Amino acid sequence: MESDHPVLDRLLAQAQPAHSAERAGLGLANRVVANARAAKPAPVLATFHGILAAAACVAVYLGLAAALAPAPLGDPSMVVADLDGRTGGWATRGLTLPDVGFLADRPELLLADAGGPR
Amino acid sequence: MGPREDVPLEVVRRLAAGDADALGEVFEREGDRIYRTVRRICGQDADAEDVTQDAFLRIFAKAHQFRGQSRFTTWMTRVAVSVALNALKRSRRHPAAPLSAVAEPPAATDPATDPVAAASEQEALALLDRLIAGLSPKLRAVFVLREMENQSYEEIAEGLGLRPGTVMSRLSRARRRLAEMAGSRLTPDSGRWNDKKYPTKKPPEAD
Repeated sequence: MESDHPVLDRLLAQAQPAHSAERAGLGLANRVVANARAAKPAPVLATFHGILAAAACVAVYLGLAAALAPAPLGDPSMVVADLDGRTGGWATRGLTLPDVGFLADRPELLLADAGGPR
Repeated sequence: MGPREDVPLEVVRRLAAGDADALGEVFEREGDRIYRTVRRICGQDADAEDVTQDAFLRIFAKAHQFRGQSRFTTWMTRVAVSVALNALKRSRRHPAAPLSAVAEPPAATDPATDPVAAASEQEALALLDRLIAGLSPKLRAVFVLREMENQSYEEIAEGLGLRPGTVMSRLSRARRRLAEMAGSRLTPDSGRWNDKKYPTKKPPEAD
């Protein structure tokens, strides 16, 4: 079949042997292998690194969450007693909403440290 | 040309397990082919050996992701072409040499006295490289894989993540563009080629 581009095809035919004869430099294989040894740990280790990285991310997240969160309630009875001494009541002063929720579920703590029901 | 023998599965497995010696074996089998492909795609815009090295290091790093859905050599080609096109993009952002200074063919003997020597195979390749440099990177990759490395349309499509129809269309555009450039720059001389600066015959009709 006649080519649409005989000029190009003749040039290609003439260039092909030189193209096929081209070789990578003699030292390139050694350079590639040496750099591969230096560049990358085994995939198993890489997977392990991935797990470590994920664990580190979780730890950082938890640390940040702890640092940025409102002060923890700690021992609820002590907090309530202190509040009780300064304010005469345990109502929500100084407590966050989760703290209130926590204490609301445990009225025995409040009652015990505030000297009994009012 | 029949299909190339693929890299043995045992070697691929060792490669995927991080065995650098396996990479050496793969390089021994496929290094020259990848080097030629990279060299034709990058032309003078990037150091083909450096890009080839980057390609093999990428192959090494990603081998464990090879799922066996294609021949390993096809997958390698895909990685290498991607690395070469990225290198081409980088070099165009930071050109290392003025365009006028690159891709000159070897000095030609005066064709008036020695027309055959003036168009050696090496010169033909250098001239072809100059023409390929005028193609867009996408067209270059398809042209080089098909016309220089004799890969099938299906293999190129798989390697480049294209549909076979897209490969055919890009190849057709590449050939048309190259033929236009060749017709305007080259003139036939006893089946060989001279740069038009040494015209010996009337240039061929445009295709």
